[in-house]
Amino acid sequence: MTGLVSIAGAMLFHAVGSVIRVLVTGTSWRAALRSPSSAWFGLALVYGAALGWAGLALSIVLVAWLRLTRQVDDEASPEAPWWVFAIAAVLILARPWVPTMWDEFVWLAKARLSIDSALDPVMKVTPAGYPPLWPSAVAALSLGIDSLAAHVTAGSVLVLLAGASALEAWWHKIREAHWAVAGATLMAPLMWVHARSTYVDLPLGLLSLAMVGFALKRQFAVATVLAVMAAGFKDEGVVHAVAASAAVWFSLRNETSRPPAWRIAAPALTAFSAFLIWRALTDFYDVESVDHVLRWPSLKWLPAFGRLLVLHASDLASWGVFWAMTGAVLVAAPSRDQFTRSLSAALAVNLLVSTAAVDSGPEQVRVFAENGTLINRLLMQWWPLAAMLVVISLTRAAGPAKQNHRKQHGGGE
Amino acid sequence: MTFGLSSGSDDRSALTSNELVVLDGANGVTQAPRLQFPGAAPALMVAFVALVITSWVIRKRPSWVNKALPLVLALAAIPGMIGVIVLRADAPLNRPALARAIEAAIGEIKANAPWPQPINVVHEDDDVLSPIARYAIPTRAAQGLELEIRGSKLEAVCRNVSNRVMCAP
Repeated sequence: MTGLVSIAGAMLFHAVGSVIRVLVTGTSWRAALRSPSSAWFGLALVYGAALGWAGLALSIVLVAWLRLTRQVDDEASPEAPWWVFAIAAVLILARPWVPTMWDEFVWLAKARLSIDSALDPVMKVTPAGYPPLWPSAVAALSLGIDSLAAHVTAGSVLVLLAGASALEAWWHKIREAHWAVAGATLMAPLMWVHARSTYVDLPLGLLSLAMVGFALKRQFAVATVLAVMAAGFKDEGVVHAVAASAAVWFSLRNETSRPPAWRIAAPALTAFSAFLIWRALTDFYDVESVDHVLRWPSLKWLPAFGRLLVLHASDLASWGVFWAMTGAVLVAAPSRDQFTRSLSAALAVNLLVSTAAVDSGPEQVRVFAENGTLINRLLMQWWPLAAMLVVISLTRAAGPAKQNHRKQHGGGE
Repeated sequence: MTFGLSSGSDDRSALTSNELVVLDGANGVTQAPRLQFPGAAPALMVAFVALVITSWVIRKRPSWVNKALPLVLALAAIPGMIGVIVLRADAPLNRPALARAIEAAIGEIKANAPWPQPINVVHEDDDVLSPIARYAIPTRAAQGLELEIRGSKLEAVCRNVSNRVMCAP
Protein backbone atom coordinates (compact mmCIF):
# COMPACT_ATOMS: atom_id res chain seq x y z
CA MET A 1 0.00 0.00 0.00
CA THR A 2 2.92 2.38 -0.60
CA GLY A 3 0.63 4.21 -3.00
CA LEU A 4 -1.21 5.71 -0.05
CA VAL A 5 1.95 7.60 0.88
CA SER A 6 1.18 10.08 -1.90
CA ILE A 7 -2.14 10.96 -0.33
CA ALA A 8 -0.29 11.77 2.89
CA GLY A 9 2.17 13.75 0.75
CA ALA A 10 -0.67 15.76 -0.78
CA MET A 11 -2.00 16.58 2.69
CA LEU A 12 1.47 17.66 3.80
CA PHE A 13 1.92 19.93 0.79
CA HIS A 14 -1.55 21.34 1.26
CA ALA A 15 -0.59 22.32 4.82
CA VAL A 16 2.79 23.75 3.74
CA GLY A 17 1.15 25.57 0.83
CA SER A 18 -1.49 27.04 3.13
CA VAL A 19 1.22 28.44 5.40
CA ILE A 20 3.03 30.00 2.43
CA ARG A 21 -0.23 31.40 1.07
CA VAL A 22 -1.13 32.99 4.38
CA LEU A 23 2.33 34.47 4.86
CA VAL A 24 2.85 35.75 1.33
CA THR A 25 -0.62 36.77 0.19
CA GLY A 26 -2.30 37.56 3.50
CA THR A 27 -5.12 35.12 2.84
CA SER A 28 -6.91 34.07 6.03
CA TRP A 29 -5.98 30.72 7.57
CA ARG A 30 -9.49 29.41 7.17
CA ALA A 31 -9.70 30.35 3.49
CA ALA A 32 -6.23 28.94 2.75
CA LEU A 33 -6.89 25.62 4.47
CA ARG A 34 -10.26 25.21 2.75
CA SER A 35 -8.87 25.95 -0.70
CA PRO A 36 -7.45 22.92 -2.56
CA SER A 37 -5.36 25.33 -4.64
CA SER A 38 -3.20 26.06 -1.61
CA ALA A 39 -1.32 22.82 -2.30
CA TRP A 40 0.18 24.42 -5.43
CA PHE A 41 1.88 27.05 -3.24
CA GLY A 42 3.66 24.15 -1.50
CA LEU A 43 4.64 22.57 -4.81
CA ALA A 44 5.97 25.95 -5.99
CA LEU A 45 8.36 25.74 -3.05
CA VAL A 46 9.44 22.27 -4.25
CA TYR A 47 10.12 23.66 -7.71
CA GLY A 48 12.12 26.57 -6.38
CA ALA A 49 14.19 24.32 -4.14
CA ALA A 50 14.80 21.74 -6.88
CA LEU A 51 16.16 24.27 -9.38
CA GLY A 52 18.92 25.52 -7.07
CA TRP A 53 20.20 29.05 -7.84
CA ALA A 54 17.77 29.31 -10.74
CA GLY A 55 14.99 28.29 -8.38
CA LEU A 56 15.97 31.12 -6.07
CA ALA A 57 15.55 33.56 -8.95
CA LEU A 58 12.19 32.00 -9.81
CA SER A 59 11.06 32.17 -6.18
CA ILE A 60 11.98 35.86 -5.97
CA VAL A 61 10.01 36.61 -9.13
CA LEU A 62 7.03 34.61 -7.88
CA VAL A 63 6.98 36.07 -4.39
CA ALA A 64 7.27 39.59 -5.82
CA TRP A 65 4.25 39.03 -8.05
CA LEU A 66 2.30 37.37 -5.23
CA ARG A 67 2.96 40.34 -2.96
CA LEU A 68 1.94 42.78 -5.71
CA THR A 69 -1.30 40.97 -6.44
CA ARG A 70 -2.15 39.92 -2.90
CA GLN A 71 -4.51 42.64 -1.73
CA VAL A 72 -7.47 41.38 -3.73
CA ASP A 73 -6.74 37.75 -3.03
CA ASP A 74 -8.38 37.17 0.31
CA GLU A 75 -11.20 35.00 -0.94
CA ALA A 76 -11.27 31.25 -1.31
CA SER A 77 -14.26 29.37 -2.68
CA PRO A 78 -17.07 29.71 -0.18
CA GLU A 79 -18.40 26.24 -0.85
CA ALA A 80 -15.80 23.68 -1.82
CA PRO A 81 -17.77 20.91 -3.56
CA TRP A 82 -16.19 18.06 -1.65
CA TRP A 83 -18.76 15.49 -2.79
CA VAL A 84 -17.82 16.14 -6.45
CA PHE A 85 -14.17 15.83 -5.52
CA ALA A 86 -14.82 12.56 -3.68
CA ILE A 87 -16.62 11.02 -6.67
CA ALA A 88 -13.80 12.12 -9.00
CA ALA A 89 -11.23 10.68 -6.59
CA VAL A 90 -12.92 7.29 -6.61
CA LEU A 91 -13.28 7.24 -10.41
CA ILE A 92 -9.63 8.22 -10.93
CA LEU A 93 -7.88 6.26 -8.17
CA ALA A 94 -9.88 3.03 -8.29
CA ARG A 95 -7.52 1.18 -10.59
CA PRO A 96 -4.31 -0.80 -10.25
CA TRP A 97 -1.55 1.69 -9.47
CA VAL A 98 0.55 0.77 -12.45
CA PRO A 99 1.28 2.99 -15.48
CA THR A 100 -0.15 1.62 -18.71
CA MET A 101 0.71 4.05 -21.51
CA TRP A 102 3.96 5.17 -23.12
CA ASP A 103 4.54 8.66 -21.74
CA GLU A 104 3.51 7.64 -18.24
CA PHE A 105 6.59 5.45 -17.96
CA VAL A 106 8.83 8.13 -19.40
CA TRP A 107 7.57 10.92 -17.13
CA LEU A 108 7.44 8.75 -14.01
CA ALA A 109 10.97 7.53 -14.72
CA LYS A 110 12.15 11.10 -14.18
CA ALA A 111 10.52 11.05 -10.74
CA ARG A 112 13.18 8.49 -9.82
CA LEU A 113 15.92 11.07 -10.54
CA SER A 114 17.01 14.43 -9.23
CA ILE A 115 16.89 17.44 -11.52
CA ASP A 116 20.71 17.29 -11.60
CA SER A 117 20.44 14.04 -13.57
CA ALA A 118 17.94 15.59 -15.97
CA LEU A 119 20.46 18.40 -16.59
CA ASP A 120 23.35 16.02 -17.26
CA PRO A 121 23.46 15.14 -20.98
CA VAL A 122 25.66 12.12 -20.19
CA MET A 123 22.74 10.49 -18.33
CA LYS A 124 20.67 10.39 -21.56
CA VAL A 125 17.42 11.17 -19.80
CA THR A 126 14.49 11.43 -22.20
CA PRO A 127 12.74 13.51 -23.26
CA ALA A 128 15.68 15.88 -22.86
CA GLY A 129 15.16 19.45 -21.77
CA TYR A 130 11.45 19.20 -20.94
CA PRO A 131 10.35 21.23 -17.90
CA PRO A 132 10.90 19.07 -14.81
CA LEU A 133 8.11 20.00 -12.43
CA TRP A 134 5.68 17.13 -13.15
CA PRO A 135 8.19 14.41 -12.18
CA SER A 136 9.53 16.58 -9.34
CA ALA A 137 6.02 17.02 -7.97
CA VAL A 138 5.41 13.26 -8.30
CA ALA A 139 8.60 12.59 -6.32
CA ALA A 140 7.66 15.20 -3.72
CA LEU A 141 4.16 13.83 -3.17
CA SER A 142 5.66 10.32 -2.97
CA LEU A 143 7.78 11.70 -0.10
CA GLY A 144 10.86 10.41 -1.87
CA ILE A 145 9.77 6.76 -1.83
CA ASP A 146 10.95 5.04 -5.02
CA SER A 147 7.88 2.92 -5.65
CA LEU A 148 5.82 2.42 -8.78
CA ALA A 149 2.54 2.54 -6.83
CA ALA A 150 3.58 5.72 -5.01
CA HIS A 151 4.55 7.40 -8.28
CA VAL A 152 1.29 6.48 -9.99
CA THR A 153 -0.89 7.63 -7.11
CA ALA A 154 1.14 10.83 -6.84
CA GLY A 155 0.52 11.52 -10.55
CA SER A 156 -3.17 10.81 -10.08
CA VAL A 157 -3.33 13.03 -7.01
CA LEU A 158 -1.87 15.82 -9.15
CA VAL A 159 -4.60 15.21 -11.74
CA LEU A 160 -7.15 15.43 -8.92
CA LEU A 161 -5.58 18.58 -7.51
CA ALA A 162 -5.73 20.26 -10.90
CA GLY A 163 -9.38 19.24 -11.19
CA ALA A 164 -10.07 20.53 -7.68
CA SER A 165 -8.54 23.90 -8.56
CA ALA A 166 -10.67 24.12 -11.70
CA LEU A 167 -13.76 23.25 -9.64
CA GLU A 168 -12.82 25.82 -7.04
CA ALA A 169 -12.43 28.52 -9.67
CA TRP A 170 -15.62 27.70 -11.57
CA TRP A 171 -17.97 26.16 -9.02
CA HIS A 172 -20.17 29.27 -9.01
CA LYS A 173 -20.92 28.59 -12.70
CA ILE A 174 -20.91 24.79 -12.55
CA ARG A 175 -23.57 24.68 -9.86
CA GLU A 176 -25.83 26.77 -12.10
CA ALA A 177 -25.38 24.34 -14.99
CA HIS A 178 -28.16 22.13 -16.24
CA TRP A 179 -27.36 18.65 -14.92
CA ALA A 180 -27.96 16.99 -18.30
CA VAL A 181 -25.64 19.43 -20.05
CA ALA A 182 -22.90 18.96 -17.46
CA GLY A 183 -23.29 15.16 -17.50
CA ALA A 184 -23.24 14.90 -21.29
CA THR A 185 -20.20 17.17 -21.52
CA LEU A 186 -18.31 14.86 -19.19
CA MET A 187 -18.95 12.01 -21.63
CA ALA A 188 -15.75 12.67 -23.54
CA PRO A 189 -14.26 9.16 -23.90
CA LEU A 190 -10.61 10.10 -24.35
CA MET A 191 -10.82 12.44 -21.37
CA TRP A 192 -11.56 9.43 -19.16
CA VAL A 193 -8.56 7.57 -20.55
CA HIS A 194 -6.32 10.48 -19.58
CA ALA A 195 -8.05 11.10 -16.26
CA ARG A 196 -7.23 7.54 -15.21
CA SER A 197 -3.58 7.96 -16.15
CA THR A 198 -0.66 10.15 -15.12
CA TYR A 199 -0.45 12.04 -18.43
CA VAL A 200 0.21 15.76 -18.05
CA ASP A 201 -2.12 17.08 -20.72
CA LEU A 202 -5.45 16.92 -18.88
CA PRO A 203 -4.10 18.45 -15.64
CA LEU A 204 -2.42 21.16 -17.70
CA GLY A 205 -5.76 21.95 -19.30
CA LEU A 206 -7.47 21.94 -15.91
CA LEU A 207 -4.88 24.39 -14.58
CA SER A 208 -5.51 26.53 -17.65
CA LEU A 209 -9.24 26.58 -16.88
CA ALA A 210 -8.52 27.35 -13.22
CA MET A 211 -6.18 30.22 -14.20
CA VAL A 212 -8.91 31.88 -16.25
CA GLY A 213 -11.47 31.33 -13.49
CA PHE A 214 -9.32 32.70 -10.68
CA ALA A 215 -8.25 35.69 -12.78
CA LEU A 216 -11.91 36.49 -13.50
CA LYS A 217 -12.55 36.32 -9.75
CA ARG A 218 -9.64 38.77 -9.30
CA GLN A 219 -7.66 36.11 -7.41
CA PHE A 220 -4.52 36.88 -9.37
CA ALA A 221 -2.12 35.45 -6.79
CA VAL A 222 -3.62 31.97 -7.17
CA ALA A 223 -3.73 32.33 -10.95
CA THR A 224 -0.05 33.33 -10.90
CA VAL A 225 1.01 30.27 -8.88
CA LEU A 226 -0.98 28.04 -11.22
CA ALA A 227 0.76 29.70 -14.18
CA VAL A 228 4.19 28.80 -12.77
CA MET A 229 2.98 25.24 -12.21
CA ALA A 230 1.72 25.06 -15.80
CA ALA A 231 5.03 26.35 -17.19
CA GLY A 232 6.89 23.87 -14.99
CA PHE A 233 4.79 20.95 -16.21
CA LYS A 234 5.16 21.53 -19.94
CA ASP A 235 6.38 24.24 -22.31
CA GLU A 236 2.78 24.53 -23.52
CA GLY A 237 1.98 25.79 -20.03
CA VAL A 238 3.39 29.18 -21.00
CA VAL A 239 0.96 29.31 -23.90
CA HIS A 240 -1.91 28.53 -21.50
CA ALA A 241 -0.80 31.26 -19.11
CA VAL A 242 -0.46 33.82 -21.89
CA ALA A 243 -3.85 32.74 -23.24
CA ALA A 244 -5.43 33.11 -19.78
CA SER A 245 -4.06 36.61 -19.23
CA ALA A 246 -4.94 37.72 -22.76
CA ALA A 247 -8.41 36.23 -22.54
CA VAL A 248 -9.22 37.87 -19.22
CA TRP A 249 -7.91 41.22 -20.42
CA PHE A 250 -10.01 40.89 -23.59
CA SER A 251 -13.18 39.87 -21.77
CA LEU A 252 -12.93 42.69 -19.21
CA ARG A 253 -11.71 45.39 -21.60
CA ASN A 254 -14.94 47.40 -21.53
CA GLU A 255 -15.63 47.07 -17.83
CA THR A 256 -15.11 50.14 -15.68
CA SER A 257 -13.99 48.02 -12.71
CA ARG A 258 -11.33 46.25 -14.75
CA PRO A 259 -8.14 45.55 -12.80
CA PRO A 260 -4.97 47.21 -14.11
CA ALA A 261 -3.33 45.47 -17.04
CA TRP A 262 -0.16 44.59 -15.10
CA ARG A 263 -2.25 42.63 -12.59
CA ILE A 264 -4.03 40.71 -15.36
CA ALA A 265 -0.66 40.06 -17.00
CA ALA A 266 0.85 38.56 -13.83
CA PRO A 267 0.15 34.89 -14.73
CA ALA A 268 1.60 35.30 -18.23
CA LEU A 269 4.70 37.21 -17.10
CA THR A 270 5.47 34.82 -14.25
CA ALA A 271 4.99 31.74 -16.41
CA PHE A 272 7.25 33.29 -19.03
CA SER A 273 9.86 33.96 -16.33
CA ALA A 274 9.66 30.30 -15.25
CA PHE A 275 10.06 29.21 -18.87
CA LEU A 276 13.09 31.47 -19.43
CA ILE A 277 14.74 30.41 -16.17
CA TRP A 278 14.41 26.72 -17.08
CA ARG A 279 15.69 27.40 -20.61
CA ALA A 280 18.66 29.31 -19.15
CA LEU A 281 19.46 26.27 -17.01
CA THR A 282 19.23 23.82 -19.92
CA ASP A 283 21.38 26.11 -22.06
CA PHE A 284 23.92 26.41 -19.25
CA TYR A 285 24.18 22.62 -19.01
CA ASP A 286 24.07 22.06 -22.81
CA VAL A 287 20.81 20.12 -22.68
CA GLU A 288 18.81 20.75 -25.82
CA SER A 289 15.05 20.29 -25.94
CA VAL A 290 15.09 19.15 -29.55
CA ASP A 291 11.29 18.89 -29.75
CA HIS A 292 10.72 22.50 -28.74
CA VAL A 293 13.31 24.47 -30.68
CA LEU A 294 11.55 27.16 -32.71
CA ARG A 295 12.69 27.82 -36.25
CA TRP A 296 11.45 29.82 -39.20
CA PRO A 297 7.76 28.97 -39.80
CA SER A 298 6.90 26.58 -42.58
CA LEU A 299 3.59 28.08 -43.65
CA LYS A 300 3.05 25.46 -46.32
CA TRP A 301 2.29 22.97 -43.55
CA LEU A 302 -0.67 24.98 -42.23
CA PRO A 303 -3.31 23.28 -44.44
CA ALA A 304 -2.04 19.87 -43.32
CA PHE A 305 -2.25 20.93 -39.69
CA GLY A 306 -5.80 22.18 -40.22
CA ARG A 307 -6.78 18.91 -41.89
CA LEU A 308 -5.28 16.87 -39.06
CA LEU A 309 -6.95 19.04 -36.44
CA VAL A 310 -10.37 18.50 -38.06
CA LEU A 311 -9.78 14.75 -38.36
CA HIS A 312 -8.74 14.40 -34.72
CA ALA A 313 -11.54 16.63 -33.42
CA SER A 314 -14.17 14.68 -35.34
CA ASP A 315 -12.88 11.26 -34.25
CA LEU A 316 -16.17 9.88 -32.95
CA ALA A 317 -14.62 7.25 -30.70
CA SER A 318 -12.36 9.71 -28.90
CA TRP A 319 -14.56 12.79 -28.64
CA GLY A 320 -18.07 12.00 -29.83
CA VAL A 321 -19.35 15.29 -31.29
CA PHE A 322 -17.92 17.41 -28.49
CA TRP A 323 -15.63 19.49 -30.68
CA ALA A 324 -18.31 19.96 -33.35
CA MET A 325 -20.57 21.39 -30.63
CA THR A 326 -17.74 23.56 -29.34
CA GLY A 327 -17.28 24.92 -32.86
CA ALA A 328 -20.98 25.69 -33.08
CA VAL A 329 -20.95 27.42 -29.70
CA LEU A 330 -17.95 29.52 -30.69
CA VAL A 331 -19.62 30.60 -33.92
CA ALA A 332 -23.28 30.85 -32.94
CA ALA A 333 -23.56 31.53 -29.21
CA PRO A 334 -25.08 34.99 -28.70
CA SER A 335 -24.72 37.60 -25.91
CA ARG A 336 -21.35 36.72 -24.56
CA ASP A 337 -20.67 37.54 -20.92
CA GLN A 338 -17.20 37.82 -19.38
CA PHE A 339 -17.11 34.07 -18.73
CA THR A 340 -17.89 32.81 -22.22
CA ARG A 341 -15.88 35.63 -23.77
CA SER A 342 -12.80 34.77 -21.78
CA LEU A 343 -13.13 31.02 -22.40
CA SER A 344 -13.57 31.58 -26.14
CA ALA A 345 -10.64 33.97 -26.23
CA ALA A 346 -8.42 31.56 -24.27
CA LEU A 347 -9.26 28.78 -26.72
CA ALA A 348 -8.56 31.05 -29.69
CA VAL A 349 -5.18 32.18 -28.33
CA ASN A 350 -4.21 28.59 -27.53
CA LEU A 351 -5.15 27.49 -31.02
CA LEU A 352 -3.28 30.33 -32.72
CA VAL A 353 -0.10 30.09 -30.65
CA SER A 354 0.00 26.28 -30.73
CA THR A 355 -0.47 26.30 -34.50
CA ALA A 356 2.36 28.79 -34.85
CA ALA A 357 4.57 26.76 -32.49
CA VAL A 358 3.96 23.48 -34.32
CA ASP A 359 4.46 25.22 -37.64
CA SER A 360 7.76 26.77 -36.62
CA GLY A 361 8.93 23.80 -34.56
CA PRO A 362 11.32 21.10 -35.74
CA GLU A 363 10.31 18.59 -38.38
CA GLN A 364 9.81 15.75 -35.90
CA VAL A 365 6.95 17.62 -34.21
CA ARG A 366 5.08 17.65 -37.51
CA VAL A 367 5.91 13.95 -37.89
CA PHE A 368 4.36 13.38 -34.43
CA ALA A 369 1.25 15.20 -35.65
CA GLU A 370 1.07 13.10 -38.83
CA ASN A 371 1.57 9.90 -36.82
CA GLY A 372 -1.32 10.72 -34.50
CA THR A 373 0.69 11.25 -31.33
CA LEU A 374 0.38 15.03 -30.95
CA ILE A 375 -2.93 16.65 -31.81
CA ASN A 376 -5.19 14.74 -29.42
CA ARG A 377 -2.78 15.82 -26.65
CA LEU A 378 -3.41 19.45 -27.61
CA LEU A 379 -7.15 18.82 -27.77
CA MET A 380 -6.91 17.23 -24.31
CA GLN A 381 -5.21 20.38 -23.01
CA TRP A 382 -7.99 22.52 -24.50
CA TRP A 383 -10.86 20.26 -23.43
CA PRO A 384 -11.42 21.80 -19.96
CA LEU A 385 -11.74 25.33 -21.40
CA ALA A 386 -14.03 24.10 -24.14
CA ALA A 387 -16.10 21.94 -21.78
CA MET A 388 -16.76 24.89 -19.48
CA LEU A 389 -17.71 27.01 -22.49
CA VAL A 390 -20.13 24.34 -23.74
CA VAL A 391 -21.66 23.86 -20.30
CA ILE A 392 -22.28 27.59 -19.80
CA SER A 393 -23.50 28.18 -23.34
CA LEU A 394 -25.87 25.21 -23.55
CA THR A 395 -27.22 25.91 -20.08
CA ARG A 396 -27.89 29.47 -21.14
CA ALA A 397 -29.52 28.25 -24.35
CA ALA A 398 -31.92 26.33 -22.11
CA GLY A 399 -32.21 29.46 -19.97
CA PRO A 400 -35.90 30.02 -19.22
CA ALA A 401 -36.58 26.40 -18.32
CA LYS A 402 -33.54 26.31 -16.04
CA GLN A 403 -34.37 29.58 -14.32
CA ASN A 404 -37.99 28.52 -13.77
CA HIS A 405 -36.80 25.24 -12.34
CA ARG A 406 -34.49 27.07 -9.92
CA LYS A 407 -37.23 29.46 -8.86
CA GLN A 408 -39.67 26.62 -8.23
CA HIS A 409 -37.13 24.86 -6.06
CA GLY A 410 -35.93 27.91 -4.23
CA GLY A 411 -32.58 28.01 -6.05
CA GLY A 412 -30.54 31.07 -6.77
CA GLU A 413 -27.51 32.94 -5.54
CA MET B 1 -16.90 -6.93 -32.05
CA THR B 2 -16.05 -3.24 -31.96
CA PHE B 3 -19.47 -1.53 -31.84
CA GLY B 4 -18.58 0.68 -34.77
CA LEU B 5 -15.36 1.76 -33.12
CA SER B 6 -13.19 0.46 -35.89
CA SER B 7 -12.22 3.09 -38.40
CA GLY B 8 -11.68 0.42 -40.98
CA SER B 9 -12.07 -3.30 -41.01
CA ASP B 10 -8.99 -3.76 -38.85
CA ASP B 11 -10.02 -5.08 -35.42
CA ARG B 12 -6.74 -3.82 -33.92
CA SER B 13 -8.09 -0.28 -33.99
CA ALA B 14 -10.11 -0.96 -30.80
CA LEU B 15 -6.86 -1.25 -28.76
CA THR B 16 -7.85 -4.61 -27.33
CA SER B 17 -4.31 -5.86 -26.72
CA ASN B 18 -2.00 -4.87 -23.88
CA GLU B 19 0.74 -3.86 -26.28
CA LEU B 20 -1.50 -1.52 -28.28
CA VAL B 21 -2.60 0.25 -25.10
CA VAL B 22 1.01 0.86 -24.08
CA LEU B 23 1.90 2.13 -27.54
CA ASP B 24 -1.20 4.11 -28.52
CA GLY B 25 -3.56 4.17 -25.58
CA ALA B 26 -3.23 7.90 -24.95
CA ASN B 27 -3.41 8.97 -28.59
CA GLY B 28 -7.04 8.05 -29.09
CA VAL B 29 -9.72 5.71 -27.83
CA THR B 30 -8.99 3.61 -30.91
CA GLN B 31 -5.92 3.40 -33.10
CA ALA B 32 -7.54 5.67 -35.67
CA PRO B 33 -5.05 8.57 -35.24
CA ARG B 34 -2.10 6.20 -35.73
CA LEU B 35 -3.81 4.61 -38.77
CA GLN B 36 -4.37 8.08 -40.32
CA PHE B 37 -8.16 7.91 -39.87
CA PRO B 38 -8.90 5.36 -42.63
CA GLY B 39 -12.67 5.64 -42.14
CA ALA B 40 -12.92 9.36 -41.50
CA ALA B 41 -15.78 10.21 -43.88
CA PRO B 42 -18.70 9.01 -41.68
CA ALA B 43 -17.19 10.69 -38.60
CA LEU B 44 -16.78 13.97 -40.49
CA MET B 45 -20.39 13.71 -41.65
CA VAL B 46 -21.63 13.18 -38.08
CA ALA B 47 -19.54 16.10 -36.83
CA PHE B 48 -20.87 18.36 -39.57
CA VAL B 49 -24.49 17.42 -38.79
CA ALA B 50 -23.86 18.03 -35.07
CA LEU B 51 -22.33 21.41 -35.82
CA VAL B 52 -25.31 22.46 -37.96
CA ILE B 53 -27.89 21.21 -35.45
CA THR B 54 -26.13 22.88 -32.53
CA SER B 55 -25.79 26.19 -34.38
CA TRP B 56 -29.49 26.10 -35.32
CA VAL B 57 -30.60 25.20 -31.81
CA ILE B 58 -28.47 27.91 -30.20
CA ARG B 59 -29.84 30.56 -32.57
CA LYS B 60 -33.51 29.50 -32.49
CA ARG B 61 -33.62 28.31 -28.86
CA PRO B 62 -36.57 25.93 -29.20
CA SER B 63 -38.16 24.84 -25.91
CA TRP B 64 -36.78 21.31 -26.11
CA VAL B 65 -33.21 22.54 -26.38
CA ASN B 66 -32.24 21.54 -22.84
CA LYS B 67 -32.94 17.91 -23.72
CA ALA B 68 -31.86 17.79 -27.36
CA LEU B 69 -28.26 18.92 -27.29
CA PRO B 70 -27.15 16.94 -24.22
CA LEU B 71 -28.84 13.91 -25.77
CA VAL B 72 -26.95 14.36 -29.04
CA LEU B 73 -23.70 14.83 -27.12
CA ALA B 74 -24.30 11.75 -24.98
CA LEU B 75 -25.46 9.50 -27.83
CA ALA B 76 -22.44 10.38 -29.96
CA ALA B 77 -20.13 9.50 -27.08
CA ILE B 78 -21.57 6.03 -26.54
CA PRO B 79 -19.31 4.14 -29.02
CA GLY B 80 -16.21 5.68 -27.46
CA MET B 81 -17.43 5.13 -23.92
CA ILE B 82 -18.03 1.44 -24.73
CA GLY B 83 -14.45 1.31 -25.92
CA VAL B 84 -13.18 2.89 -22.71
CA ILE B 85 -15.38 0.96 -20.29
CA VAL B 86 -15.54 -2.44 -22.00
CA LEU B 87 -13.36 -3.07 -25.03
CA ARG B 88 -9.92 -1.64 -24.46
CA ALA B 89 -7.26 -3.66 -22.72
CA ASP B 90 -7.20 -0.95 -20.02
CA ALA B 91 -10.98 -1.04 -19.45
CA PRO B 92 -11.79 -1.50 -15.76
CA LEU B 93 -12.30 -5.26 -15.93
CA ASN B 94 -9.27 -5.81 -18.19
CA ARG B 95 -6.94 -3.51 -16.35
CA PRO B 96 -5.74 -5.86 -13.60
CA ALA B 97 -4.39 -8.27 -16.25
CA LEU B 98 -2.69 -5.41 -18.08
CA ALA B 99 -1.19 -4.15 -14.83
CA ARG B 100 0.13 -7.63 -13.98
CA ALA B 101 1.78 -7.96 -17.39
CA ILE B 102 3.45 -4.55 -17.05
CA GLU B 103 4.60 -5.17 -13.48
CA ALA B 104 6.07 -8.49 -14.58
CA ALA B 105 7.96 -6.83 -17.44
CA ILE B 106 9.32 -4.07 -15.18
CA GLY B 107 10.27 -6.65 -12.55
CA GLU B 108 12.08 -8.82 -15.10
CA ILE B 109 14.19 -5.91 -16.38
CA LYS B 110 14.87 -4.58 -12.87
CA ALA B 111 15.96 -8.01 -11.66
CA ASN B 112 18.42 -8.53 -14.51
CA ALA B 113 19.66 -4.96 -14.96
CA PRO B 114 19.41 -3.41 -11.51
CA TRP B 115 19.57 0.40 -11.70
CA PRO B 116 21.29 2.62 -10.39
CA GLN B 117 24.13 0.25 -11.26
CA PRO B 118 25.52 1.63 -14.59
CA ILE B 119 23.58 0.09 -17.46
CA ASN B 120 24.74 0.47 -21.04
CA VAL B 121 21.71 -0.08 -23.26
CA VAL B 122 23.39 -1.16 -26.47
CA HIS B 123 20.19 -1.83 -28.38
CA GLU B 124 16.56 -0.91 -27.74
CA ASP B 125 13.74 -1.54 -30.21
CA ASP B 126 11.39 1.42 -30.51
CA ASP B 127 8.53 -0.76 -29.34
CA VAL B 128 6.44 -1.73 -26.35
CA LEU B 129 9.34 -2.62 -24.03
CA SER B 130 11.12 0.68 -24.61
CA PRO B 131 9.02 2.85 -22.22
CA ILE B 132 8.97 0.07 -19.64
CA ALA B 133 12.75 -0.17 -19.77
CA ARG B 134 12.91 3.60 -19.47
CA TYR B 135 11.06 3.44 -16.14
CA ALA B 136 13.19 0.53 -14.93
CA ILE B 137 16.42 2.23 -16.04
CA PRO B 138 15.88 6.02 -16.13
CA THR B 139 19.51 6.90 -16.87
CA ARG B 140 21.89 5.26 -19.28
CA ALA B 141 25.64 4.83 -19.02
CA ALA B 142 28.32 4.58 -21.67
CA GLN B 143 30.05 1.82 -19.66
CA GLY B 144 28.57 -0.88 -17.48
CA LEU B 145 26.30 -3.87 -17.78
CA GLU B 146 25.31 -4.26 -21.43
CA LEU B 147 21.61 -4.63 -22.12
CA GLU B 148 19.60 -5.36 -25.26
CA ILE B 149 15.85 -4.87 -25.40
CA ARG B 150 14.06 -6.41 -28.34
CA GLY B 151 10.62 -7.47 -29.45
CA SER B 152 7.08 -6.27 -29.54
CA LYS B 153 5.50 -8.28 -26.72
CA LEU B 154 5.17 -7.41 -23.05
CA GLU B 155 5.98 -10.94 -21.93
CA ALA B 156 9.73 -10.45 -21.94
CA VAL B 157 12.31 -12.77 -20.47
CA CYS B 158 15.85 -11.57 -19.79
CA ARG B 159 18.78 -13.93 -20.40
CA ASN B 160 22.47 -13.49 -19.91
CA VAL B 161 24.16 -14.16 -23.25
CA SER B 162 27.95 -13.82 -23.30
CA ASN B 163 28.14 -11.05 -20.67
CA ARG B 164 25.21 -9.18 -22.14
CA VAL B 165 21.66 -9.21 -20.80
CA MET B 166 19.11 -9.66 -23.56
CA CYS B 167 15.44 -9.02 -22.78
CA ALA B 168 13.01 -10.25 -25.39
CA PRO B 169 9.75 -12.24 -25.63
